[in-house]
Amino acid sequence: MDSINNYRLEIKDLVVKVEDKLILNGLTLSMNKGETHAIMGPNGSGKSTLSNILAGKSGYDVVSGSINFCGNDLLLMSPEERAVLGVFLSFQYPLEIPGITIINFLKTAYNSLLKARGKDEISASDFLKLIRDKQRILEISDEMTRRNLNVSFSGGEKKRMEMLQMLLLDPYLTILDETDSGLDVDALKSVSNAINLLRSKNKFILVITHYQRLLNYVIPDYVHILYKGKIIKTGNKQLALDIEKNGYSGITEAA
Amino acid sequence: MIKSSNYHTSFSFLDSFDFKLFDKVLFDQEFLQKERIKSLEYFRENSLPTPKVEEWKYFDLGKISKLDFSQSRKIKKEDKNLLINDLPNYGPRVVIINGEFCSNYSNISSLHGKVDFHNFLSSDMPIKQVNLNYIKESLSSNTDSLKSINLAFAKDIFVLVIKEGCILEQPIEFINISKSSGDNVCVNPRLIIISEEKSESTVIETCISYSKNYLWSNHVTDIVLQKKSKLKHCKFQNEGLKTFHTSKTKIKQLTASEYNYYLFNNGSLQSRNEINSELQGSNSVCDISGCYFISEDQHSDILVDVQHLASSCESNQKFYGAADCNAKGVFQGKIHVGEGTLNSKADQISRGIILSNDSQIFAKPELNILAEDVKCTHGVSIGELDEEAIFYLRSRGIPEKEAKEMLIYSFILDTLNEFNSKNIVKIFSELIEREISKKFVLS
Ligand SMILES: Nc1ncnc2c1ncn2[C@@H]1O[C@H](COP(=O)(O)OP(=O)(O)OP(=O)(O)O)[C@@H](O)[C@H]1O
Ligand SMILES: [Mg+2]
Repeated sequence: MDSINNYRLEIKDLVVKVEDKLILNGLTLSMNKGETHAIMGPNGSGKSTLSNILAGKSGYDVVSGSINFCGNDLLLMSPEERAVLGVFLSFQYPLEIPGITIINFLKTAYNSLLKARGKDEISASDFLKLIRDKQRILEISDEMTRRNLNVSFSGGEKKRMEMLQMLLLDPYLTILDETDSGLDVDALKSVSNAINLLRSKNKFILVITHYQRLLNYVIPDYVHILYKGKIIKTGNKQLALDIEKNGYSGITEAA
Repeated sequence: MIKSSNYHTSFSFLDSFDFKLFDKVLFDQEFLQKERIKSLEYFRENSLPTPKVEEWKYFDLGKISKLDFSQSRKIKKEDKNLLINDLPNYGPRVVIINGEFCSNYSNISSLHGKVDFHNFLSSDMPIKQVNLNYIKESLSSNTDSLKSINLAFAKDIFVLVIKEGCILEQPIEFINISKSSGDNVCVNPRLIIISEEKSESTVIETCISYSKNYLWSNHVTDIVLQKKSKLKHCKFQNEGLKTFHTSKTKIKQLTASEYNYYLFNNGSLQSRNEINSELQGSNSVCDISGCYFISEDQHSDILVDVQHLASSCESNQKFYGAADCNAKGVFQGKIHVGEGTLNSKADQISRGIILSNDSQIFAKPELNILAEDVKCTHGVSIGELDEEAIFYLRSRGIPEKEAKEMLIYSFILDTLNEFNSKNIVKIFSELIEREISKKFVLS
């Protein structure tokens, strides 16, 4: 195995079915450490499916292909093992879980990762300091973190909560599945801010979006177009601007 | 001749009826003796009902009927110490071992003046006439097999009176310990709680058992809430897997009284908890909720029956459970709203989580509404843990088992949401959290 592998995400010829329906159809994508890639594509093209597969959701039939992340065969790992490696998915539709407060959930998640990495758990007071720090970046109040996980949160609030989790868990590979959808102008700025904070730490960032506006703040190194389960075009940030202006038709017709 | 809808039984304890047990008590001995003998005769003639009797459709006493049970024998002091040493201690408590009062381990002196506690065998305090009437009503024989056994074979009778106007901050705990070493043993604890006018109190019953052989703990608890009194009554049933648990709790509520019941049913091979409340006085509130955790071959049957017999009363039933392995859980919730009553409100909800292919949960709401001015809701939902939610938690690094535990905990916690006592919520949420990780395999 070549050493460069240790700093790469390599998705090769991924074919995925759900109940005999072909969803990813030979998807290939590679990323180097420190890069930010954007994936755009029409509704139903397979973007969330790719995100879920990367994070380890079950229920998909991976027919062929491979995913190697820094020398690890991701497809063989459980979701929690991937989280320990540093994989983080910001969900397109974050779940509401009654009866679990955000603060408890975050602390449990944080300590689970520490434990799996062979480190001591964090003290309650240190944790509070840490989380308040992150809350400030996203302008999230203590009142909000005492509430039940995402229950009755607005769409934008849920997305900001995902970003709080991201900042806290400090992932190595972050997949942002339409985190920008439904955000107001100010929230978009604070979310971009959070992403750029991670970015400055030399990580892998995969941004899935329908709109150019996030990419004005989080400027991607590459832009990929996913169509019918395949990357059909890769370009730089200009590609996103073209899509915004002309839509997908020019590209999909060529494909 | 025993009816065909009943089991034949041959329990040895029937031959050891103690005629002299209550000979020296202050209470009306003749009355008590007559009722005890009538109860014994009723049981000899009727024995135990089979599932052919509608009420017992989901709970089969067949296993119990095939075993032989004796009365418990005296337990040595050293053994008692062992039993009691590792119990939690929330404050004032009464310890009952195999239905007998253990004065050495009980302590309710801090409640002096606010509470009267009688055990028939050794108490020498007089009982007020109104309370006596109620006690007699409770100790009258009737046509119920389990109550008959209990009355005939109770080793003592316990009466707790919370005195008029007294407000108790600390819960009073009744710890029921059952133990058998040699034979299979049948234990019959009997408790009467009288909540006098305008009193407010909390009672926690804990049931535990230790046995090599089979144990059958057969409880009867009768409760009256006098005008404007409030009682919070909780039960933690945590007996071992060689124990059968049958329990009948009957509550009578007078005007503007408020009764809150919470059951955490975690133990026993087979358990049947019946809670029956009669709202006899208007403007009363009755809240009966709880949860059960069952695994292996456990069977939990909870039967709630709330009777609105007066106007402007509110009742609420809420039971959630989780079943793993081959376990079976049943919730039967009855709501009766009597003819001529006005402005009744009755809600019922039961929910269940199935954790294995072979576990089962049934819910059977039963409404008998004979009045028009009624707001009534009921709902049932039974399903599996939400896979999406499990994935969400795991994707944050929380291991699968822990993720499932968190989800069960958050699901069950909803049953404590409306329980208006921080103290109780704390005690029970901690018990629930502790038992989830002990009980379920979850992987
Ligand atoms: N569990 C499933 N069962 C059946 N079909 C599925 C399942 N999951 C995804 N699909 C289908 O796979 C296709 C791709 O879905 P996916 O959610 O990945 O699209 P997307 O690119 O994220 O779309 P959007 O932009 O709307 O979020 C869709 O046609 C969807 O209906
Ligand atoms: Mg999507």
